[in-house]
Amino acid sequence: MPGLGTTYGRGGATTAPKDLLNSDAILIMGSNMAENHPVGFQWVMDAKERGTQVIHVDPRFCRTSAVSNIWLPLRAGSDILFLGGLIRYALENELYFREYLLHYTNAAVLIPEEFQDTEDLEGLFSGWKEDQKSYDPKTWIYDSAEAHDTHQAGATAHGDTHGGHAQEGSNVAPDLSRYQKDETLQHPRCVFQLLKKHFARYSPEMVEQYCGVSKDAFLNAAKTYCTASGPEKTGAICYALGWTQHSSGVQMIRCAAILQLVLGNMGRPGGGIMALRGHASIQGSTDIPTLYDILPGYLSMPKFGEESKNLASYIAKYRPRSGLVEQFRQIHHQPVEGLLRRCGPAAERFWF
Amino acid sequence: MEMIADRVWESRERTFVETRDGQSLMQTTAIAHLGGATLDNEENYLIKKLFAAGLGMVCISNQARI
Repeated sequence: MPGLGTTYGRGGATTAPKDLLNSDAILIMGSNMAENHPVGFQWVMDAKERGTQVIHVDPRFCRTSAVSNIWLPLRAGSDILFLGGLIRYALENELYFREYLLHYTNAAVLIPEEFQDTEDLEGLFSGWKEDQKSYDPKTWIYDSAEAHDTHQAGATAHGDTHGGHAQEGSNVAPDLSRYQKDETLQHPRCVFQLLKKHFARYSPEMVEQYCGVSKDAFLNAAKTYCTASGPEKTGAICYALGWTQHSSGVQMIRCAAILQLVLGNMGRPGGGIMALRGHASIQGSTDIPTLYDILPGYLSMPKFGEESKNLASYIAKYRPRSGLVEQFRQIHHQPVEGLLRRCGPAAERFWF
Repeated sequence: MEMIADRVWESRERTFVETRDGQSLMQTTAIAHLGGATLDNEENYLIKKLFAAGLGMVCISNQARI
């Protein structure tokens, strides 16, 4: 789940299914939720009875489509275009949540002049190393970052770990107050304007041409979803393996994550992104966790060396530098610390 | 079953590393486990207990990664 991990610092569903009751609109894509996650879907149905608009975007008409307010048959694999269209719609029609963007996202932070977008370089971002077929993220970091921060922000933009849940982004979330900002969101090099420029190409006409849905149908769905967000309202997005198992699944989920931030839907009742997974298999595997590089609760597994000496060195390394999760130790480590205390100092030496 | 057990144990004995640079390591990278989406909670629990905690295997992965 690097899509959610990069954006939010934790690669997992952001809310409990019951929270869908508080949503004003629910967008279901890449999932036949009614049949494959029927227990969670009860909250969608309860919400719908309270007036929530349910939008199902799927090439196939299934039981989820049958009980939704809007069904859009999308051309298979064109999800990024559709989501890009939604982001553009929210930005162009000023349906974004301005105060939220200013205080809880990096929308106002400036990116250096050296950064070039895909529009400038015919499909590539700046920093592409042709011989190594990979990116050097040096030009993507926040402007006026000091040498030490440069390393950190670079790591945030493009972590050195591959895949996984907790790693990308959460390791070194920088303190945004230290960088140059434009609180009016007008500076051409601020993240907000760069985002606007990047998604400018995803027009309703383009969606019509490539996604196979009519412009009117797209605009209706876009209006329904985007106007159900803002200071008084929230919308949620549900997805399942229809996204995760695409070759471009990470990019789809990243688009959804960006859309939810633009609309101010994260960390609020009825907002968020529900990543629907196999309950006892994939989610179980994450929670136990079977994967070698995570600890329970989407925490990073310490690497061998300085950071794995003891609990303090681990926290020093992985504590985010801004936001609510700054209280990393209190929020995430009380269970672990409690366990260690009960097992005595020998256990701490063993674990770390 | 006995052949698998023999080979796993032999590989572990041969490649197990207890310490590195004076710090406890307790691992073997010579044995790997690859799982899929159909593993359930109970199987995952046993995989973690036996392979990671018991045998000290590091290379354990499955579809939950994506």
